Amino acid sequence: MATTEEIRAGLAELVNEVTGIDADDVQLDKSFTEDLDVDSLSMVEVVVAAEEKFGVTIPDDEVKNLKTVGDAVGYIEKQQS
Amino acid sequence: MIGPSDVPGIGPVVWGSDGEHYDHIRQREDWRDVVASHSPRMPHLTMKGNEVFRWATYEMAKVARETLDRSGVTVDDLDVFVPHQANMRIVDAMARALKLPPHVAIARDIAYQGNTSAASIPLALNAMVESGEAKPGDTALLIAFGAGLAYAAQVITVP
Repeated sequence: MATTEEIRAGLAELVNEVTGIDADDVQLDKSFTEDLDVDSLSMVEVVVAAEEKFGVTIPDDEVKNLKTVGDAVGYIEKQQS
Repeated sequence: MIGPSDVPGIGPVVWGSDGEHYDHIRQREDWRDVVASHSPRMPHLTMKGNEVFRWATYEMAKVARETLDRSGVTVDDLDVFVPHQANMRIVDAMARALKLPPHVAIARDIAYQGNTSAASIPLALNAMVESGEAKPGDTALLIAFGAGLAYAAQVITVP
């Protein structure tokens, strides 16, 4: 079972691969759109990569609720439990 | 124009439609209602952008892989990749999803001609041949997708 920090770090790596944003900037309180400038299509790429990496399903309808990195990490944790 | 040849140049086509997503790209108003209305205006086309992006990138990557399998080639055998020129983001994301090796030339004709709809693949391939990015005899993967959601892909030898 991955810890919150492990999921955050894994997600940060994916955000970095897709967008080039420094992985260290991808912290739980950061908003994907406001703080990190991840646009909606990059977000789809991150989500699909996260599904594969963490073995979860994140439907399109759910993506718009994942406003912060913490939201996404929480959703992945819930799915994995 | 396609004519007889002594050597195979066109691989099997993998195609279909994903009717479950019929409403992802659609025309909002019925033409009959538009014509019957007192102030007829052109019907609107609407698209669920994020959903289409996800489908076009990842579901189409699966179709692309199946097409390569059916044609007996791998991404390493490809010289050219010519996806439908819907938008650059899909082109880039699809190339990443397919893990195309760096030697594969990727069509980015949308930067010059925009989304030319059903003509985009032939126009893009022609532009690549004219610029020398693609040469006769090269192995190319073509893949198209659009409203329906419908799709088709095949491997060809560049004429």
